[in-house]
Amino acid sequence: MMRAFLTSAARNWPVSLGAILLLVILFMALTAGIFFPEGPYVSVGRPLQWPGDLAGAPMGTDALGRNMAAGIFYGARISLLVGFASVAVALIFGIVVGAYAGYYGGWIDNLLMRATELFQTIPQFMLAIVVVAIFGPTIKVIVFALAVVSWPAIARLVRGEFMVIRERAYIQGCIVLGMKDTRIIFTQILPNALSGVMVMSTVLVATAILMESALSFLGFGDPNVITWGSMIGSGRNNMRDAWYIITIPGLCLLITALALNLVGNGLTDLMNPRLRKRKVK
Amino acid sequence: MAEANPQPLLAVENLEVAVAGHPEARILRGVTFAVNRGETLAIVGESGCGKSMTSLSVMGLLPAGVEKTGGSLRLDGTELPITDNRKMRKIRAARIGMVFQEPMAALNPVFPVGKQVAEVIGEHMSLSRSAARARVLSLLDQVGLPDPERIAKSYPHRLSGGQLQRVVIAMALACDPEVIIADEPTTALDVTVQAQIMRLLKQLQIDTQVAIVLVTHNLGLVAHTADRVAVMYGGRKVEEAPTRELFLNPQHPYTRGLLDATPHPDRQRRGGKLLNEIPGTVPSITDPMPGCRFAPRCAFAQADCQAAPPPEEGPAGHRVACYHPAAWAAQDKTEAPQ
Amino acid sequence: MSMTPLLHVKDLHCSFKVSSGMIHPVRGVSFDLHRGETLALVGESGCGKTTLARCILGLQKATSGSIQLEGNEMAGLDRMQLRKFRPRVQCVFQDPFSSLNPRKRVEVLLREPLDVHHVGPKEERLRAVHEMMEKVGLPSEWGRRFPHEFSGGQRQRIGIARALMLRPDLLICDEPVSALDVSVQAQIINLLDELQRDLGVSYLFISHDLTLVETFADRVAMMFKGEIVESGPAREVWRNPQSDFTRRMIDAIPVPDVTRAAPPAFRPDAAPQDKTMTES
Repeated sequence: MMRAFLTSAARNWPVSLGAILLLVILFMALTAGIFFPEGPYVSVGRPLQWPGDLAGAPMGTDALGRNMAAGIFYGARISLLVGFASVAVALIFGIVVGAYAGYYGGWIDNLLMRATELFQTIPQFMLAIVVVAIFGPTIKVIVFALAVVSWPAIARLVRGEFMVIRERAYIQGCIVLGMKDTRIIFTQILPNALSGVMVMSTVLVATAILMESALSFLGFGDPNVITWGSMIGSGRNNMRDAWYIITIPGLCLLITALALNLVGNGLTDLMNPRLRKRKVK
Repeated sequence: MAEANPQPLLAVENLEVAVAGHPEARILRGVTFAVNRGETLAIVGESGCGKSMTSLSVMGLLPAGVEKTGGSLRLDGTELPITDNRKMRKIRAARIGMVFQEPMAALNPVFPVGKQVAEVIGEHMSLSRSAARARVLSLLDQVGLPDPERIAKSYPHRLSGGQLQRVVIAMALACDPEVIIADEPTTALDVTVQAQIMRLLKQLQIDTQVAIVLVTHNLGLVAHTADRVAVMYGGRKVEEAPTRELFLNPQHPYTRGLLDATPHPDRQRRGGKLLNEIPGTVPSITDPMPGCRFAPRCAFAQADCQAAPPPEEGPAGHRVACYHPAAWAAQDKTEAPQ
Repeated sequence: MSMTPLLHVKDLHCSFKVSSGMIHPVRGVSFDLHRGETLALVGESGCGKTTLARCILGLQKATSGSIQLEGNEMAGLDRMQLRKFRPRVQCVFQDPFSSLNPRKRVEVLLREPLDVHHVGPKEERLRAVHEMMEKVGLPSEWGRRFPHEFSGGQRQRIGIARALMLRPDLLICDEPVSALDVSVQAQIINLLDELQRDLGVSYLFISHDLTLVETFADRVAMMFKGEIVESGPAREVWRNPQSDFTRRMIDAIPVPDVTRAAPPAFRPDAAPQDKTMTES
């Protein structure tokens, strides 16, 4: 199984590239405390040192003389945490709403889908800002705010999948067996509906990471943690003379989003048992 | 028409088709047959026997990932350029008409059917707009559709399965083809509609002398519409004979098994079983197997059957690819076929 | 017969809304099915036979009428109330490719019915699964495989095995062999026949193929436009059709026998038929 997975991953190089990039970012997030035990806020030298100018600060220093590399490593933590946590919350909510709406149809579907549309009509970023403005800028609130804007897309996708799979003969068979609805929804339909959701989730994680950066950039981020977005935000005054301060975290965001999209594109094939078999053969 | 043409209209010889890039993964293993003008040849077999792949080859419509690796396909003596899509497009419809199982798949849902028939005419014949229109209406009338004016303006989803199949037949006939390839043309239809469609094809054959290659799994259909039958199994033709001869005197164990497995009214239950089944399942089409591909399921298989594929033998009218044709005759006289 | 029939359907109507408006596919259907008997319901596409089956299975609400299983009314019950009847009425579907959950191993597929109804101790369920696999002609060591590793006929065996796990009294078979090849169709029909003699299960066999039904069923009910237009012993209906619809259908069936004349509807020289019957 594992071998088969690896062989097909090797053939599908964009997915592998995406996965490797993600692993590198994960590595940065996990090792931030080892490489930079002093944390990202300590001044390590003169401000605005270009990358390479100062030993120990390979990415240079910012306007306050803080180590850019430390900021990138610690920022990776926040980006990944916020991205994955918010989508995880959105998945739980979106799947439950979408599953019940798609499985039952009728007025339940109507009610749940109108509610979903209500959320979708408000511009996502505005909604996130409002939530953060009301509940205060902490990591938990930001995760919650991003989950609030992400779940409708998941709910709609899950609903669509459920409406299709619900009509398949094997689900009719389960009803005839007398299986309870909850069991049909979660053990019979959901596993078959997940592949599309997984693909969408990777894209949503990328969106959430970008949105968190945008919040931080605008000053709606958690002031107690450093993020790629806040680094860009604080670097914008030095954009002309020290453009690396915004470019480096910007590139990190770009690479992360790209990696997630690459993985998402490849996931569909890898998770389909039928395709997997064919490919190995 | 040339008188006493010695050469068949459509001749397929030793056709080999394999998975592209894997010549050892053979799908068709040397298929030979020929059809004359005004004749109906039925190609019979079960799923995976290669009958559809054969018809797709003739039309130059082999799916991606599959390629012809040998043999020849000749229409009226000239080789069909089946890999040249541009030339094939001219030949299809102009000389070879096609009717598939799913009429819906052959029609574009966003155009009225009359327009689609007219398009086929426009592509292959130089007719004025009004002449083309008149031809569309006469074709729709010819295939027995009531009120051709109204039908021509209808979109595919407004018509029933039988009506759609008639439209598809009208398209196949649009440019007076010499051959019609009908691949399971009635499988998706009810029996009463099936009878109407088959009767229509027969009538058209009487009127135009078109040759029909009928690809089907339905032996009942074959019994009453075909002149000759080719039975396929595992990418090979196992038996070919005139229809009556094949049904009354099958030589290949598979042919006989197929005939016996077909439900047959008024037949008594034999040996406790309702129907005579063929045990086992069809081998994977690409399964490398040195001998006869039916041997693993054959009650009469012997050692030589496993060794090498049996060659096609017998008189010109009745060819069999089997080392032990009609082996049951000697084995058991009490249980005669039929 | 004085005995209570296993299944008694009386004046069943079913209508529902689809995108293009109300349709009324079942219009007052009545029939009885006795224990150990095979009743075939034959008709063309759109005649309402599948809707009728869905009503009996509780997948579709009947508008009016009665469906009794040994005298117990099932029509009008909701899904919770139907649960106690579920083990007694099971079904086999037409398409062997969509009727099995692609992500479950065969063992799990066959164990699920027992799990749902808590039949027997857990450790014995797998043994029952393996017994059933052998009964339908599948080696029990194939239990660890997934549905897509099987051929169409083998999948239909799995579908039949799953339906029989709860030892139902009635099996509703909706065109169980119409997607299969002739030789495999014979295998499945023979299997159903053996299982009936072995287990005493009754079949409501839905089909469009009158020749197959003539061989397999005890009785036939011919369905046309939502009504049963004729019923009787299978052979009787075939030999001596009473209704116009049955006669027309038989006239169109090509029997695989070259010693007979082609069916009338096939002959180009025959008088043209009313072509509007099934085409609208």
